[in-house]
Amino acid sequence: MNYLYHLIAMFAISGLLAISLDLLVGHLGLLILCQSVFYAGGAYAFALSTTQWHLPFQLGLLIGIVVGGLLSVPVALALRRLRGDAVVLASLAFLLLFIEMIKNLRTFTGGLDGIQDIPPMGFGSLLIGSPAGFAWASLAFLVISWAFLQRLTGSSIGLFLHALRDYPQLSTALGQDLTGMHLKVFFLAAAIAGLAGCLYATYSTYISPDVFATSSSVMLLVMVLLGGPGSRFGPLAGAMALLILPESIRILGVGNEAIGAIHQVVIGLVLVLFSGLRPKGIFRGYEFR
Amino acid sequence: MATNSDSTVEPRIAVTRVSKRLGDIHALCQVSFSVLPGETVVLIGGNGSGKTTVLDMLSGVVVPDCGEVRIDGIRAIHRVPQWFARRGVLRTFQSPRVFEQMTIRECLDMGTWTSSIPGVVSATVWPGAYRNQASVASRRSADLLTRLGWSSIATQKAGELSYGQRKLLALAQLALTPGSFALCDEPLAGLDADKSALGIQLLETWKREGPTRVLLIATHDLDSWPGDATCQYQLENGVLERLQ
Amino acid sequence: MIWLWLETLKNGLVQGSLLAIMALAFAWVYHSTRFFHLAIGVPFLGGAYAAIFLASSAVIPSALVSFAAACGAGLSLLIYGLVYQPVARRNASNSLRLVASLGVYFFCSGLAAIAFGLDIKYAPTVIYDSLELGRVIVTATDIKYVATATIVIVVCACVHPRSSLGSRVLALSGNSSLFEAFGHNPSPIILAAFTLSGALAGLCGAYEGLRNGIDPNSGLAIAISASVACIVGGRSLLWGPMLGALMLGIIQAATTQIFSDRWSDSVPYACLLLLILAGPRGLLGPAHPHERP
Repeated sequence: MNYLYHLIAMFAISGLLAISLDLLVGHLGLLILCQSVFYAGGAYAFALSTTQWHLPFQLGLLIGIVVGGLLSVPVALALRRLRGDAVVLASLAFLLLFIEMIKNLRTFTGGLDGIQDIPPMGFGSLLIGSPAGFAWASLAFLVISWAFLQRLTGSSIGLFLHALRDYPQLSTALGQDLTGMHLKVFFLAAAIAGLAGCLYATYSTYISPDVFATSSSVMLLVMVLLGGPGSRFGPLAGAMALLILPESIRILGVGNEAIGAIHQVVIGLVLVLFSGLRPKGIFRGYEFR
Repeated sequence: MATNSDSTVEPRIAVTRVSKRLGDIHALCQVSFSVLPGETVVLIGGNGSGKTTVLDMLSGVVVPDCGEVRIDGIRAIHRVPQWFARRGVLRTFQSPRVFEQMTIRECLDMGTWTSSIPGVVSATVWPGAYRNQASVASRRSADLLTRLGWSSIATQKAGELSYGQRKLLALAQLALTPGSFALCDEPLAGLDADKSALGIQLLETWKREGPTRVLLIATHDLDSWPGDATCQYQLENGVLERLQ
Repeated sequence: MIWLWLETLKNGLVQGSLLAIMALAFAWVYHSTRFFHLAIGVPFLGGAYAAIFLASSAVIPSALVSFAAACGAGLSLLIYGLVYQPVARRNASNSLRLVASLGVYFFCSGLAAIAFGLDIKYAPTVIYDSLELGRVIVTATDIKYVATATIVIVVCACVHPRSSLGSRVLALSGNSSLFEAFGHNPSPIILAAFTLSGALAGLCGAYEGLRNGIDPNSGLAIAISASVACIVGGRSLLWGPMLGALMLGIIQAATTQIFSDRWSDSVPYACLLLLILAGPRGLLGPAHPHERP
């Protein structure tokens, strides 16, 4: 039963990451590879606030969300002026650079050793230490965030985002200056990723640079593409698919290392097939050209 | 008839001795003109006369080689198109551009929303203010749909419309968008008599909604713009001449 | 003190030769196809593993290296045929091609991890002959490496200016649609570029594997370094990428001296970011204003 709760928890965290990334990939049309930057930023900020500064859980959560969001500001500003593959490359460069910074700023991040003994989830005196408790709590976060984002993209904001994505010149010609919206949407996507980072940190009580390696960020993109970018349930479906895969292989008795490698192979395959065949995903989503 | 002798009123658009070469062609040669608040200016020129280049310049798509352009007194050279959007410069194109994948209703809705692009938070949480804005916006779009006779096809995708309908939709999108400058490239070309009349109505209504709004029409001959015109210019081979 | 600098210089020279050849390998593909060939890490890894596994048997070094280069070339052609061709045929934008190359890299490095494990593999017989110049130790591998690199560069320098292949690649990189409009067929040129690129990358991989060992995740970092060196070098197939490699090497050495050697890995990424942000809009994007982005 605990295993099921573990899966639910992992699904909630991956789901949060997928829906937040989808805001940028599906609705803004940007192939972003650096979502892990916001994820890791939130996780490390949360970990630092609760372990080194001994702040309560809620405050740490808030800090993690805000830090995740703030990390999007330089990225969003930089990407605003770029087009085409420069966007993908710049986001890759941001990601790789950030991972190096995590590894090297040892006083803050503990370097390759990471941060340990992160306290479990607790709101004041209410401690949610059990696997079941965490699973339901994180699922609640996912559902609320998903509903919020659905509302957002279904409203007139969604219209403007799609205008920015598909008809940027026409949009400007009609007097729409969407720079502010671009930045705010980026902040929102990054903040939700930061939230996921906090949840991960408190769940596994240990974070290190390995968790946020390049392949995990690329995996997030694969989740969104597989499920169907910009669709209602696509990112969640993609998150579920990429969660079930390693678990089902694990049942066959394969070790962790091999699972990671198989995961990488599948991610690579999906990316290649996607760019070649350009399917719209499980739930027909936005088509990239 | 415009009187430029009133020197205390600052022109909204001031183009001074602007030249532009596109490859080997002199698209514009020492072009100068100004537009005062509330004026309707018609720019007449054949194909290749440079009138589209003038509009491109006034919306930030093209940078002049020399000369000065000022929008509301502020230098407007080497600015990104978003800067022009922020200053209220709206534009339609010779071949109609619409939001193909959106419904007609959505195209019009966006126009009404542009003035106060809703905040990320308010759009989702829906406090009272947003709801009022939303109902005002939908009423405006609905009214316009009725006027255009498109109420029954409001949910059709914009890309499925005929050429004339798209042209009219492009004008309608602009007409619902609050702004200060409307630059229209051949707005009535390809429209039949009924649609032409509607098109003129749309643009003139837009202009009337703001006393200082400026309308700049680029067209190929005088008869193509039967609406009001404060002054007319002729553009030929890059040289501008005032007609009236 | 002077020996420390000589040691740094020696290391820089060897490392720089590696980067220079990789930059050349990247440049051939990038200039002929505008394809940001991050998957160049694959022939690199291929050459490395091939060299390491052959080093155990009594194979003469030159045959070993040639075989590694051939592996690299073969892998490169496979990537071209199985991935690049289909993707290009469907008129993919540059971003999708980039995503494809990243996908190829992950696919192959994942396979390598499954086949060979995640740990660093070293050549079983370490070549111990070395020269001692004062307090600087120069191994035979170092010498062979720099020597090979020099030979490659000299050959390229002699052949290239007069070679029709080189000038055709540069013509392609200028304006591919115009190139085709004049009746030239780009396919054999691209094929040749991929083969050459793979061979060079395989060669680099072989030496890196023999010198420092290899693990499946080393391919991305070197691909990015090579790409930075190539872009800095501009539209050139020989001196440009080499100059770029030299500059990158200098910046890395300076970073190591000023900060610490922990930060040297981040230099290529920071440089890439700066290049993309500082360059004009068209630095990475459509080769020609009217081409699809």
